[in-house]
Amino acid sequence: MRVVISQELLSAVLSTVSKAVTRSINPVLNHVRVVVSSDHVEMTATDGEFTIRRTLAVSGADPGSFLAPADLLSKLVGKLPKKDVTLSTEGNQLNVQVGRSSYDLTIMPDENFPSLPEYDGSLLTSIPASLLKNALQQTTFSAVKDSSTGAVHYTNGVFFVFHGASLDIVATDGHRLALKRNKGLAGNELEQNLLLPARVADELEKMLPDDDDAAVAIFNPGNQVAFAFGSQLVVCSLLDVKFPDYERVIPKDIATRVFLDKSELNDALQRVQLVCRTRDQNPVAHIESSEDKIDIRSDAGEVGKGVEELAAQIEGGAIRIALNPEYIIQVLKNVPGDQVVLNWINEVNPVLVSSPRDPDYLYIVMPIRMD
Amino acid sequence: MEEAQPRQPIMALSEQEARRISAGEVVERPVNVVKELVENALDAGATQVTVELEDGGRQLIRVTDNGHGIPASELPLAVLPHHTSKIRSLDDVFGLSSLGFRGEALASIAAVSRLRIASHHADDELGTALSLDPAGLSSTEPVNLQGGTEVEVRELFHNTPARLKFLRSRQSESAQVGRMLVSYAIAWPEVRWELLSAGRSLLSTDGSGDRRQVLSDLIEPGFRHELHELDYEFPPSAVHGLISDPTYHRNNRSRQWFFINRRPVTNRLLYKAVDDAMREFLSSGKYPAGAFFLELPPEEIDVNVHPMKLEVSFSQPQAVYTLLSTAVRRGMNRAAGERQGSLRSGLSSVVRQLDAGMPGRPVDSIERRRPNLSLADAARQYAEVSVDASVTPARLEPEDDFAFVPPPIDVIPERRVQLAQDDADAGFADAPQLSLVGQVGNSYLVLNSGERLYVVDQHAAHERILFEKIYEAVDPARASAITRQSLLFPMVVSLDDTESEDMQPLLEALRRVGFNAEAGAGGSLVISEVPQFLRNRINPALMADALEEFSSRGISDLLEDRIKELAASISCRAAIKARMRLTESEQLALLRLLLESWSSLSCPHGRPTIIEIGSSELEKMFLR
Repeated sequence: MRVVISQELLSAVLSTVSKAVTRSINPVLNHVRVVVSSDHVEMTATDGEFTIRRTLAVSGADPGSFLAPADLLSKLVGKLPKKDVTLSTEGNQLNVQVGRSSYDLTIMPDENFPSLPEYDGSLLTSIPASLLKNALQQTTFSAVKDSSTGAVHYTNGVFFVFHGASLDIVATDGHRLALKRNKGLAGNELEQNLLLPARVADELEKMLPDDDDAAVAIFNPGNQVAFAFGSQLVVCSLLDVKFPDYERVIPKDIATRVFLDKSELNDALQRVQLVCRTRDQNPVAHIESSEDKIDIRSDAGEVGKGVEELAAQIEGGAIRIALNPEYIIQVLKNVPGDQVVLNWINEVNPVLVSSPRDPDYLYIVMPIRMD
Repeated sequence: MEEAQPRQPIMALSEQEARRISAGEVVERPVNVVKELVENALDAGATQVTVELEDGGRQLIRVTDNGHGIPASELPLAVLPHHTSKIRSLDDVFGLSSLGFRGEALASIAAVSRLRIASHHADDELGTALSLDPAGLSSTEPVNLQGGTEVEVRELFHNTPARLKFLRSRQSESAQVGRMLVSYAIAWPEVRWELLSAGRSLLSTDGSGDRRQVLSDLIEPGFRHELHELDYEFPPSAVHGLISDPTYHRNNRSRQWFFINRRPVTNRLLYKAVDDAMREFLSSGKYPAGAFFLELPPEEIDVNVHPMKLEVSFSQPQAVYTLLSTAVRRGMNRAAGERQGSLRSGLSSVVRQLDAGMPGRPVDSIERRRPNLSLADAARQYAEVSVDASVTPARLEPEDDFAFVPPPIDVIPERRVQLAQDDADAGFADAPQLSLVGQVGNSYLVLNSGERLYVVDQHAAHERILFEKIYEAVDPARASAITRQSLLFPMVVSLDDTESEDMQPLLEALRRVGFNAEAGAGGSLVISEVPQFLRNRINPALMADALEEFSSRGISDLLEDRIKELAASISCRAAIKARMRLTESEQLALLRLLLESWSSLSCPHGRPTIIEIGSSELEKMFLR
């Protein structure tokens, strides 16, 4: 096997696929599978459930395949000079050579590497990559990526709901929920739900191109899902847990709408949050309205307290609610436009955060209660 | 076949015989005699008590004290039944603060031995000795004695062979006396105690009044572990005493001494109170050493259950249990907090370094309560800081991946004050410089201070932290400060085995720890609000597990106990599990929590959470 690839491309490909590598006692999973054919190279890494594959075009390569140590190869290539890198194998050694640098790494034969499912016949749909990237950005942060409580839960996933010509993407940690509705997708007549692990959704979002012309093909082989875009492929196992009926918790019968300047609200909450950090890490912001303004108060006992006053345009009666300011700060990063609306029913019901610019983006926060 | 015994006529026992029989209830063995005599000595204000035994007390028991003595005129009365200087009527029994009171002691002893009492009261010119034999014959003679009383009991049980037969070996009888005198030595450290058996000294204290010293010496020779102070008042009751650090424990209760109003007692309820309180710090079957002094209003106790006066009963046992277990728990938590001091400050330096080294992360110092400083204070602080700041770069060495950039020396004054104060608060100068080595076996975090290694059990540590937070709810004032995060989708937890039970106590306990729950259909529980700090650590499966464990633990009807059990069940389930890989930021987050939690060295099930391995231990392992 022998192939020449530019250092920048090789490094980018290796660092992308390495995201699927987790330290494992199964040595195969600590390796990246490299398959070289005459005109392209395919690199695949997996942790058994989550797989990333990237393909890059080359010319004049000698075919071959092997398993290379992912971490070592990725770090080594990252430190090489920005020139063409020559990879060649001999026996159980991979030679990595640039100019006067030459390294021989021990590799494993291309055996026992988990194979990808046959997804060719399972195409669900194809949608614009930028649409998916944006929807994931607006929702994934609401899911729980850390699953250190053990059992998998719906809060650990990002939910895809294909319904006719629309795709809803939803994520929740049980206390707040982000929903992005994508309507009018051409050529879709699907009724299909997928619950994607939040960790994968996060990586996928970073990998997706921001290009309006690029498309992403979504496959659903068995209990897996595959996203193919450009030269990249992301495959993962779906979470096998039931996602709750999110339509039911979207607030209706709104009593008051409070229109606020997004950046003013963000700045105020950032400051308020500083004095919310009590010992127990229980941040609480108390929001109250009067005529044409709202007050945001924080009281962290012995640490201190603060109050912010913001101009607001209010439709409806006075509001009063206690919220975790972090939950609002996080959504403000993803609300397009300058304005944000807090839709309030009463102090025990959820608050709906909405955007006049993007009516298909909804964010629901449950209040904090105290006696 | 044996001949039937001819029938004996019913007759009144002679007074002498009756006294011998009743005396047997009071005096079973030498230790009872010594106890009665020692209590008399203490009641007489003695500061020195010497007990001498011959043949384990069979031949001779002699108790000598330097108390105020008995006037010659009252001496013959002292040995009559129901004669005492300690109470005048039955009512006095309930207001008792002196040690002996039944007025039977000397009379009972006299009935089964040859008794001689020599005493000298300050009002008399000369001392007087009174000799009695079991037949009731007495004689007095003047003796040369300078204050105090000397009681000699010879040939105990010589006239009751049945009793005599039940005595054990000389060693066994004198060991019993020794054990009892140990209790008195702990309770009365200002008294010089001496026990001589066949001329050999078995116990000797210096009467310096230093109870800690007496207790250490009595726990075991060369005892070097810490003894923590117990000090808890709940007027009119109180608990004082000393308890050994959890680093010291025994497999039995032989180094525990209990006292009520300074009287040695034994009582299962008191054992249980200490055991239960220590369950957070020691595994079951391990017992701390300690001396536990309860002060209770006399009307709350009945010491008259048994003439030996060791067994007591309480009119409000639950209150006494809570008093003692609270005292022990508070004492241990305070001690754990102190012990944690240097470790915490060491950890805080790690967190600072990690924070500083984490790309894209603000330098976020550990939140700490900062008192308002007067100008003078500020100036003083500032002066101290300059010293501190100047050594900062040297101390905070870059650590591998977490390059720490030392702050420039001319930072703004506020910042320097803040830094210095953090350090000063935590005793930073003495604290080890720690670096995070990493996670081992996906279960333990390893820290290196240069001198010592610290190994943190991630599950036990996190469990402990959560337990402390949940358990705060025992205090209703703090429970009301728990903020609850509402759930978008209520959690439905099915409780199979409690279907028939009354759910109210469970709902009440849940409410106290920050859950809003109500009974749902078919014995299920519907949870709509959870404590805010548990917001991302709770799900229905986990709650079902926790509640199942909780209902299997349920023993007490007391809400406080239920809350504690609930806290233990929930914290165990919600904590980070063992065998779970933590990312660097998760490790950092856990360290941060550790820092904020005071007594986090033991988890609720009694295992340690952090172990230290010093260089001396390492040397041992390498056989150096």
